[in-house]
Amino acid sequence: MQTMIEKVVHSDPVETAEKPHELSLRVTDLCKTYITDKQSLNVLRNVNFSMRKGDFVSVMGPSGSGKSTLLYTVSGMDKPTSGDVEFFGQNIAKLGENKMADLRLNEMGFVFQQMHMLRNLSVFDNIILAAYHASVKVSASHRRDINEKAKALMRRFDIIDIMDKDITEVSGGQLQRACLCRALINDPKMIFADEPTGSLNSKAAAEVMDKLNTLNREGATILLVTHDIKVAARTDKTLYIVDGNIQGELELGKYGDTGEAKTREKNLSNWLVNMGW
Amino acid sequence: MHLSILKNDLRRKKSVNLILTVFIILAAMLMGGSSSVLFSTTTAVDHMLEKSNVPDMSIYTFDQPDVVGAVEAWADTSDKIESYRVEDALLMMISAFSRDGRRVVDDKDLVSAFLVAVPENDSKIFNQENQALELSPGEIAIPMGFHKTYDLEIGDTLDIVADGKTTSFVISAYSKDVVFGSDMMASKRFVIHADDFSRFHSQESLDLIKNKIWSVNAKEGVSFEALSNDFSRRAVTVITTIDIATIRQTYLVPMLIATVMIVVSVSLILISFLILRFTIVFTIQEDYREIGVMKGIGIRSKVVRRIYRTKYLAIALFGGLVGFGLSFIYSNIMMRSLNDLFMMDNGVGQIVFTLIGSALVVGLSMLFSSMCTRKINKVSVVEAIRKGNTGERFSKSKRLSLYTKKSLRAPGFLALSDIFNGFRKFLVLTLTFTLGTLLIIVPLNMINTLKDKDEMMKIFGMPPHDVTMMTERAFQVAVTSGQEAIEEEIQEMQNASERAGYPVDLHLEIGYSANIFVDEPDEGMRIDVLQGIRFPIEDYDYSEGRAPIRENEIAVSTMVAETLNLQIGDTVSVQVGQEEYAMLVTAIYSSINNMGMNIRAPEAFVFTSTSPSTISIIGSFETMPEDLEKATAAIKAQNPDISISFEEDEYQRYIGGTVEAIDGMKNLIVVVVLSIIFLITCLIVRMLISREISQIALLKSIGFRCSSLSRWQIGRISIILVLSVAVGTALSLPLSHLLTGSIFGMLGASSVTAVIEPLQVYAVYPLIFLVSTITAVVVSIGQIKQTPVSEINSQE
Ligand SMILES: Nc1ncnc2c1ncn2[C@@H]1O[C@H](COP(=O)(O)OP(=O)(O)OP(=O)(O)O)[C@@H](O)[C@H]1O
Ligand SMILES: [Mg+2]
Repeated sequence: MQTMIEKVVHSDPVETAEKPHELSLRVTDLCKTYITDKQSLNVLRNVNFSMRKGDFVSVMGPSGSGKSTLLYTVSGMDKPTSGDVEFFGQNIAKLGENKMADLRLNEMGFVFQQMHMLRNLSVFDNIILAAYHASVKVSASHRRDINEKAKALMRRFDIIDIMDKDITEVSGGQLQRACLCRALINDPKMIFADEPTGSLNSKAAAEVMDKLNTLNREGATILLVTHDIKVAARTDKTLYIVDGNIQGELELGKYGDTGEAKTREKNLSNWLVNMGW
Repeated sequence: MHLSILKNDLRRKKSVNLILTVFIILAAMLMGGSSSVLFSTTTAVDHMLEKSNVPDMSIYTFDQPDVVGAVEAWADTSDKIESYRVEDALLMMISAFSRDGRRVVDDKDLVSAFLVAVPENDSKIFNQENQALELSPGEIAIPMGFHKTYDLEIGDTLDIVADGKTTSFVISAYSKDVVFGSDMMASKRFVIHADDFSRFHSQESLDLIKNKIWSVNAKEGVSFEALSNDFSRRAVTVITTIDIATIRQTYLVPMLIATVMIVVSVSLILISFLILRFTIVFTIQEDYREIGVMKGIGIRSKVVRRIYRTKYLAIALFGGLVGFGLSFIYSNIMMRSLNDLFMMDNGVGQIVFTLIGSALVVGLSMLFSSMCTRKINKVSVVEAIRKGNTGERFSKSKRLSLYTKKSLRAPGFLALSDIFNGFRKFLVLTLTFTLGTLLIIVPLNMINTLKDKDEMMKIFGMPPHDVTMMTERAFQVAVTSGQEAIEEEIQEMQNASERAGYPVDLHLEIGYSANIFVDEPDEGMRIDVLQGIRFPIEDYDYSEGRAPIRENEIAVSTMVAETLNLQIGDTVSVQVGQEEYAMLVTAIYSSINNMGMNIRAPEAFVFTSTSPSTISIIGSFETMPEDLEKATAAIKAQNPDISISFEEDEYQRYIGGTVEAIDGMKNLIVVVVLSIIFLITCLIVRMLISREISQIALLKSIGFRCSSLSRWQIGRISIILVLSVAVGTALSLPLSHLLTGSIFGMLGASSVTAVIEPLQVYAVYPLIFLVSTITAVVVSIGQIKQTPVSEINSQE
């Protein structure tokens, strides 16, 4: 497992400089069919898209259109019925359970709308759990490093003061940022988020988005599902999905800090209206 | 609409509802079955006595005019007698039985056998199927123990050799004889057809001695002690008298075994109660969210409760009914080992108790569910929805912190923190495991105690000894010529043994029938006066006081002391034969011989007016022979008349065939308890997992492999299991001593302590328990693998 410091030192300049357009995710003819009691439901039908390293992409679409399903299948949490998913050059569609688990542990980070955390553990323990689990050896000094790293993350996300709290004792916004810390603890190559702001008020949602934007600016690759135009407007590109098909995509370019937010939102909403939002 | 809500509920929460149903079935089966086992075992002896129509007292006499006249005179005039009947019997030596021209029983057993026609009225005999015995001419029924010891099978030919004539019979049944059925009864009854019997009876014979059996019933309100006292004052020479108390005493060992079964049954009832409550509380918590939603959309609390009550009533009734059916299979399995020892009540009583047990489960299920659903009224909509079943909130101070546990891996830590932070949900599992461990180990200790020769000899009131010797002559002179003649006989035995190279120190133990009382002879009790001749009276065990030495001193058993409220220093009256003596109590000792109804007199005390009712010649070798067979042969070579039995043989005689039943029961208990705990573990683990699906999905999403999740799940149950087994094993020691002590104490033997086999109790069986239960966990966590990550959003 790499530590954050290491990554900053050698991976950034080398990788981004040499292959600026390296693909992080390539999805080809992805299909997903759910078979329930008597009927089968084609939730994803021949989805094709790709992301480069450092991309920040959002997925929008009507409820039930298959957004979550898409996210789960491309992140290996669920098996696709057919089609390929290449994650940093590796086809994960046919990977075994254990390989997938290792990939999730070490190279992917997840954030969910419901801010799932283990109820028995404190916020801090929830964050470090994956890191402890990922480390092959059990050594006090190594664990100290993990603790320090987790604290550094929490400090960056302004939640250091809730580290010893119970997950029932903190606000939704704080908890979601803690989830983000957990997703980042093993320095994933990519972050997947399913409506991370879905249960937050606009202020808390803005805080979370700020953090995601900062991460992205530092090189993180993010795929995010949302219903919120404000959220989607802060991503580089938006995919619009209807009935398991990508109907269109809109490039907005990197999000800056300045007042361009309003225009981005306007462009996006115009586009969405055209798409039949 | 309500029906459709229910239908939906049953379908959607299939696994939890299914588990609940299985649990109710299990509980109904255990409660129903155990209640009936409890009923049958506690009433076993009474049931047998009643079914066989055993009279309050049976008197076996020779068919001699003076004796018959004396008994008749008593029976016709005594104001204690309600009714009596008299029947003929023939007394023979058991060695008269032969097969293919050879004796069946060697002369070691100087045991008499009664040959009788199928008894029609009193002391009836049954076949193996507990039906009244029926025989055709030429057929014979032999006791179960006889069949087992001598390999005589139904269909075999068995000859009776009398006066040089051989009469052949075909064995057609193994008899269940309440009066002589116990291994402790040396005499046995052999049954033949009335025609065959009258043919034997009509001939003059030297080998078949004519007897009368008097079946006497006491008047209402007259105790059989009073009855037998009344008879013993007549001083009639009898072969033997057997009253109900004596018969009860012969079932001591089977009753001890039955007690083990009672302990097991009570514990299983307790376990089923625990799991029942747990499952119902668990299942209803599962329903909280729906309940909240229903209330939220405006359905009244009363209606909501009705919906759920209907659901639980349906499940409870169904489970109770299936369990009721299964409990018959269960109780039959449990009682199989006892069936050889007793005649069990398989009639209405058993069904009623099974029904009560199973019905109790249905009732309790309804009670628990209505207690839980009562909360519906109080819980607000929001609370119900939000609390759903997120379970308890944990107080922060208790929480275990991962970052302080520097050496634990994540699955191990999760296991620990689950236990630490949510022990409540493992409480039932902990209790079940602890009880399960106790259920295996405590009966094991009790059974090992029963199998321990030294401890059991204590029970029968014998001082420690290696060997018992006897000759036919000693028997005769004991009755006819008095002590001195026996002494000579004993000297002769010692000499023979010495010549054979096995010097032995023998002494005589005599028992006299007597009546003991404080003020009124009629309020007395029948007891045995034990006396050791040529043996230092200080060498017996006394729990209090000092050995009686002078002729007016006695020691009394704990039982006698308690019944008559005697203390050391008190004076009591002892009536032996026609004489009455005032005796000073100097010591109290423990014995369950004759139900603890005995006292010990010093050698100085000389009985004049009566002959002994029992004698035994026991002693110890200077050095215990290594090869008992060889020693027996060598002594017999010196004097072929001597019959020799070692402690082992005595134990065999008392407990003999019972050991097999004991072992059978031990294995049965282990298998039944292990299977029940296995099933309970499977179900509880599944239930716990069903509530943790989203947590499992979450851990999967952050990259935990199935194997790590399994380690977590197995780990936490293993911790609970190991702790529970340790606690159970630790508790088993005092509990075994307590139970063994109090059971034997009730019978009058306060000095019996549980025999612990350390290897079995502390290693083998706990290990078997651990392995079996962990296997149960391993097979139950399959759901982890099947859980897709998308379940993360499932409403747990
Ligand atoms: N495990 C499943 N089994 C069967 N059908 C499913 C399953 N999961 C999702 N579906 C169906 O697949 C379709 C797409 O679901 P999905 O959750 O991907 O939608 P979504 O776009 O994320 O919707 P929302 O915006 O409401 O979250 C829905 O019609 C849903 O009913
Ligand atoms: Mg969704």
